[in-house]
Amino acid sequence: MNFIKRAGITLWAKKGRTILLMVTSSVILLFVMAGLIIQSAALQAAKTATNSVGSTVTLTTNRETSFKAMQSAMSSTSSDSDSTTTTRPKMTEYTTSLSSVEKIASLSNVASYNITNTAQVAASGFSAVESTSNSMQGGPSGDTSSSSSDISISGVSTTAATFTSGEEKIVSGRGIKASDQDTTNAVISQELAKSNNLSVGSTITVKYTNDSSETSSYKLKIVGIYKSTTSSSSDSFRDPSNTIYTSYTMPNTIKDTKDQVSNVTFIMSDSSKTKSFVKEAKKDINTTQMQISSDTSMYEQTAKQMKTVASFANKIVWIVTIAGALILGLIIILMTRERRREIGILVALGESKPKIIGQYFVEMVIVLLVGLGVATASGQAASGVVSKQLVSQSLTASQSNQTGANGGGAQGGTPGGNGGGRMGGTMRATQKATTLKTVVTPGTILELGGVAMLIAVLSVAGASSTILRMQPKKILQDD
Amino acid sequence: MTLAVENLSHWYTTPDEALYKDVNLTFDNGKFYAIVGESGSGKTTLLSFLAGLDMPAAGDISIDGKSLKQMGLTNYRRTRVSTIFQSYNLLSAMTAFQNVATALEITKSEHAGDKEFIFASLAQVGIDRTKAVKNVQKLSGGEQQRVAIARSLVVDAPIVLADEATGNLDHDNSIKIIELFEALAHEHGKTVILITHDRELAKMADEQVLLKDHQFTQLTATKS
Repeated sequence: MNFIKRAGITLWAKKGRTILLMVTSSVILLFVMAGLIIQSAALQAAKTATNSVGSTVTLTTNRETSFKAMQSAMSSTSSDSDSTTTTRPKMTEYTTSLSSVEKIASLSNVASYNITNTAQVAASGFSAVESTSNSMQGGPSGDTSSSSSDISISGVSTTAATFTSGEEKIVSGRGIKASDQDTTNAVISQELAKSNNLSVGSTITVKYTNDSSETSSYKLKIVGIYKSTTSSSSDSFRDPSNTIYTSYTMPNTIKDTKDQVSNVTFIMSDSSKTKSFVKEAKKDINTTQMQISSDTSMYEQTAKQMKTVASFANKIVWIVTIAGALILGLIIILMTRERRREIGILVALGESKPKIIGQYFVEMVIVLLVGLGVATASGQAASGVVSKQLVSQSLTASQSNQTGANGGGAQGGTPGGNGGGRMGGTMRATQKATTLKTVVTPGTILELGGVAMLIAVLSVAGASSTILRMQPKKILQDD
Repeated sequence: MTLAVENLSHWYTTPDEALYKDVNLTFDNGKFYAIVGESGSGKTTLLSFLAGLDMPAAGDISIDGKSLKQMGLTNYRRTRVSTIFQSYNLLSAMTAFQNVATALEITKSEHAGDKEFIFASLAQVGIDRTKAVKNVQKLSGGEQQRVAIARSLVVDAPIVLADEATGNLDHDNSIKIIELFEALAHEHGKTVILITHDRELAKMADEQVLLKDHQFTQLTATKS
């Protein structure tokens, strides 16, 4: 009867002790399995969540250069003694060519892009929406242009790419499509439509005054009406209700800047490659006049969160493994002291102490194998709960960190001037619904098996010194 | 084969308080020996040295001139000696059959795994098949002692040591066991050494070794 068979006989003969050991090892391995599942799920969630969070790169006017140009213009104006009129300072809106934008968009890692051009125009034949303190709700036939540029034309690639924050949505007709290029199709706000009795199919006229004080009129055909939840402003031209969406070509037509682009937002397909994309894109633009910036903060924040969870889970695995080895090791040492007579008998019969240690190791392996089976079966059931919790926390963290300015038309710009594009980068997070299917994989079971083996070795090693030091004569005589 | 004890001395604290000093004994094969002495005289301690369970503080034990130290105690226990302990020392988690099988496996006996041999060996000491497959803790004291005897005999070691091997047996069974020891010595050429305090049983041996006042005296027994 070799020591392996002896191990089996002993475990079977002492069923109560064996069951207790199996329960203990099952609990220990279940905690280890939970840690391994969390670790695996966290790493997978990190990859999935970061990819879904995404990052954007914005190409827009270099504000610093534009501001310096404005200051320079102000200085030369104030020093001009012949100047009898006071002109308002203008922020120069630099642009880049459409071909440059398309070249940048063709770089790898660009999932999509949205061009935004703006123009400040005046309402003609209808009234802009004003604040209640200066309400001048004019009728549809009155020429009530109260400001020279009270309407903001936001030219976009598509309103679908712009209306991503949920603050705007189409409530009548349709949005601007790519096919609206070079047309006068427009989408107006619900407030603007109601205050002027406008509807889909109506036509409105806007007027644009250039730097040479020349005024041109443009007729826009309403193809859609949108609703905005953004709060209104006391300044009519800043009131989001006064933003009219058209194709990005319309502002170019108004300002006679054909094939020029003032603002582009590129959506990255792989957030981790944003920096390399920015570096590459800068080669195709005049970096003095245009700036290209990225915002990977959300991606990095989410990635960091998930990696923190994975790191924590890894620590859990090690702590439980070491604690498990200690617990089982102490149990085995206690059992060894109880079984010293058995050891003495075996030694007296001529069995070597290493084989007796081997018998203990085999007993431990059998016990841990049962624990492994229990932990694997329970882990399969628990993995679903764990993964749902993890994804829920991950999405909540991502949503709570999203900035409010996701998409949307260009706002602001300088009154009377050429209008300003959207300044600075705006994070647009396209959150994908993530369903994380985490299961107990063969790899996880293998890892757990490795941990179980490590626990067996460490726990028996602790008892080995006790066995090796035993004196059979003393044992047999004392008993 | 000669088992020799040479200048053996042993003490637990200091040499001045030695249990015994400079003991010299020889045990030849084919003879049945009885070591007789009062309780606490040190008989079992001597047996532990002869069984290879411990080494004396001084002196040596050898087989045909080869010291046990040279041979290695584990190897000696596995190949040269089998011991029947006073307290049986059976493996409590096992049946009588499994106890005997374990001994055969450890000593790498040619009969290891031979079920019929094991049952026959147990039957020889009065343990039938029904009792052979029972856990030893469910057997009586006398039955356990017979299992211990069977376990010791099956390994076919040249030296058989028995420490009060008949203590829990009735008279008739005790005689049977003594006769068995005689047969082992005379018919199978083994060296059989019985530790006992029973002088009547000791007289059945070929030679007696008297232990008194920490002194050993080797005598040739006069059988009655």
